[in-house]
Amino acid sequence: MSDGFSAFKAMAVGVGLLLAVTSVAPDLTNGRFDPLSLSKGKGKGKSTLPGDSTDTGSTSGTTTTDSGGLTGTSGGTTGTTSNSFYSEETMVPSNFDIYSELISVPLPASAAPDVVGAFRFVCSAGQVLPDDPIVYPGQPGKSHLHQFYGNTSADGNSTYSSLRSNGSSTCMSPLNRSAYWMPAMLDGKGNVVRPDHVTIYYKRRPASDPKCSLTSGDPAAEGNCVPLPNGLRFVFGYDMVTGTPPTGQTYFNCAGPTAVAGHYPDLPTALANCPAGEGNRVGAVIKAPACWDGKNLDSPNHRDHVAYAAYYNGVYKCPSTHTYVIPGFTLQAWWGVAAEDNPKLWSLSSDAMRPDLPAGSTFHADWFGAWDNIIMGMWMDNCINKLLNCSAGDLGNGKMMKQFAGFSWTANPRLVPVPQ
Amino acid sequence: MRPTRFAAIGLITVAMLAGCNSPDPASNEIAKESAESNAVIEAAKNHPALSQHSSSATGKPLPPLPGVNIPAPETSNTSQPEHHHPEQ
Repeated sequence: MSDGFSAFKAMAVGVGLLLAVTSVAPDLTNGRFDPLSLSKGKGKGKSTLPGDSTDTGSTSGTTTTDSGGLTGTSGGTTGTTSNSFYSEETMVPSNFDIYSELISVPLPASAAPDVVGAFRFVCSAGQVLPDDPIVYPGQPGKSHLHQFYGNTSADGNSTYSSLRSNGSSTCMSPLNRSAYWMPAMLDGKGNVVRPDHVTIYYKRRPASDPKCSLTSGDPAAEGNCVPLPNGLRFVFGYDMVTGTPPTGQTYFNCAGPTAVAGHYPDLPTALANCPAGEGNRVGAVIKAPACWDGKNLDSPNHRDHVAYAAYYNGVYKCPSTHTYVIPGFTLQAWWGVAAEDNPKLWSLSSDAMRPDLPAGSTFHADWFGAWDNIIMGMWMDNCINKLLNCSAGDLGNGKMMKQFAGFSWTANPRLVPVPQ
Repeated sequence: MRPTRFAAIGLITVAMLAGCNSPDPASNEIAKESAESNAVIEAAKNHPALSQHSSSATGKPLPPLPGVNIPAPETSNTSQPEHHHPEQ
């Protein structure tokens, strides 16, 4: 069938070309060919992009550059400090020799022609707890069940200071003591399905890019680029409080030998394209907001202090209320689908609050930043600002983060009982 | 019908049919993401901690935690390569 269709297309293209050439030929022979005549009478019109909207606010005009050159030598007390541009918590240095956590590697390749530098790494699944240190701080056990990644000490009592001072990390090494978490995947048989692995990509334009400064003169500037402020934390994806759809990009996917990759809106659709027992993995992908208000490290709903860039009058940029561009990250969690699974029973723990929606519809994630500042400065200075293609914890300066000793490509254990 | 109209129709026909051969943007995006994801995994497989079983691994297996006590992976200072990962 496809061969027949191709033959038809070839014939039709030929006829079309013949029509075009023969119709233009007289004008050519008369020396009167006017290419503009082909568009005569057509209005040029203004192109409209999906999601185009109007930015009603004015921009602040504040400018900063992202040096990323954080030195990490100050004391370990907590509090809030301000530079001339924004506020953040007082940096807490690592309480170990950070250089013992690095190995030497060749420099990575450029990310060009891509316009963003990338810093990527892989994580293992961490602890499974009914905790949420952002939504229910100091109240362990109050949340729906979460699957954590990153800091192995993260729980309902975690703060920026405690994360910076405690724990190993399933995301490479304790140089990244940030905590990442999302609703636990349930198999419908009383178990939590732990993901095989998680990949996280931090990306942004280099600070020297004119689109990284609102005063660069580039009318298409996205905002003012800054490093991730200490103590920043937020929730993103489906809003469990309001029930509003996520503003950022979330979707499910499938990868593997017999997978049909796609952007699927919910778990059942993704799992239908992810045959069990054939080495496939179902993925949940979520993109974090990359626009910050420059003032607040958290907000009452844990969302409003950050935002997503969008098209405003045809220009892709941060909203005027959130003009600071931080490195945005994408988190991809991948679960193996085994022959003994019944994927039709799978759901996220948070789906129980919205049984009227397809499983997976309540997909969201939380992030509590707790990077070592010197290391973050390295990947900002190099991977991001030098437009490099950094993977596996490569810092872009000839150094790479060590890998978590518990890392494996398959979850071990894959199933754990849902705590009662 | 004026020759220019024939030309316009012809070119539009060509453009439309040529478009049949262009992958749609969503497919392109998915293919690009898959390629990036595969590249990241390949790069991770080449991390010295995995490819050389060296001291490039760090940290300790997860400790028992309240809520769910997850048995620690049976690793010490090395990690487990995937079954199809080439042994060094």
